[in-house]
Amino acid sequence: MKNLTRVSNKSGRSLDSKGERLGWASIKNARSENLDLLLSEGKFLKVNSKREPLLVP
Amino acid sequence: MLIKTKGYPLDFIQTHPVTLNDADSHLRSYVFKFNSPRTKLHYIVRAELHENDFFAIKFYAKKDRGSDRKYNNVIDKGDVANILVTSAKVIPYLLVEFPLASFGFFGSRTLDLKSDKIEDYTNNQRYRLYEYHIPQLIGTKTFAHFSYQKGSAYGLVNQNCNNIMQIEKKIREMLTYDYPDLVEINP
Repeated sequence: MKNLTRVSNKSGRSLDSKGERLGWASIKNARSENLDLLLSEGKFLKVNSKREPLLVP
Repeated sequence: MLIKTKGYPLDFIQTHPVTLNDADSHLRSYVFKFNSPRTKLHYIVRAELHENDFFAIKFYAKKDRGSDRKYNNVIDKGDVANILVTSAKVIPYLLVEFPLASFGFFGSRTLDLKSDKIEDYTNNQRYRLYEYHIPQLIGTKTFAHFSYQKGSAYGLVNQNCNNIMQIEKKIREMLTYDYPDLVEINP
């Protein structure tokens, strides 16, 4: 039986697309969620910046 | 990676009124444009004004303007820092007319057209870029920063408002009422 190996380029990187490499879901099976739930666990951030912000103080 | 770039010039184009299909709380949109000499593409930035003086900031390559999935496409030509910095320049611009404005960025799910796959809505790559870069651009004197990792959103609530937590709650409730299916993708 032919040994099927993953195709890769010379640097050894897989030629699978990003979605395949990262295990994303297919578009028709993509899960969704109500925005209410997605924004319910917001977190107030304590931002510690090492320098002055570039646009707005 | 610390941002060292100042971005590109951002030009205000016009104000768009809302359409019949727009959400009730969406009042009008401020449209800007810029050009990236590195990607050789033009970009459009939309600051969509809602009630509660809240702007949703969106941007996309102008060539994708006719696509329903313009916010989900990846151009993959680099220049991310410049594009982010330039798009964020709408904030100081709009603060002049709206000194109590708050702003939000929503990380759209990336589409991989090659394999017909889509990124999950939680902690996606756009959100991670916002989370890392926005604090370098926008400080905490003017805005309180909020992170919504589960929904890949980043919020800036104006510190000059009375009761920041109440304003944050009002904005969040407004958005969840008007855009309940924001993360849904139609095949």
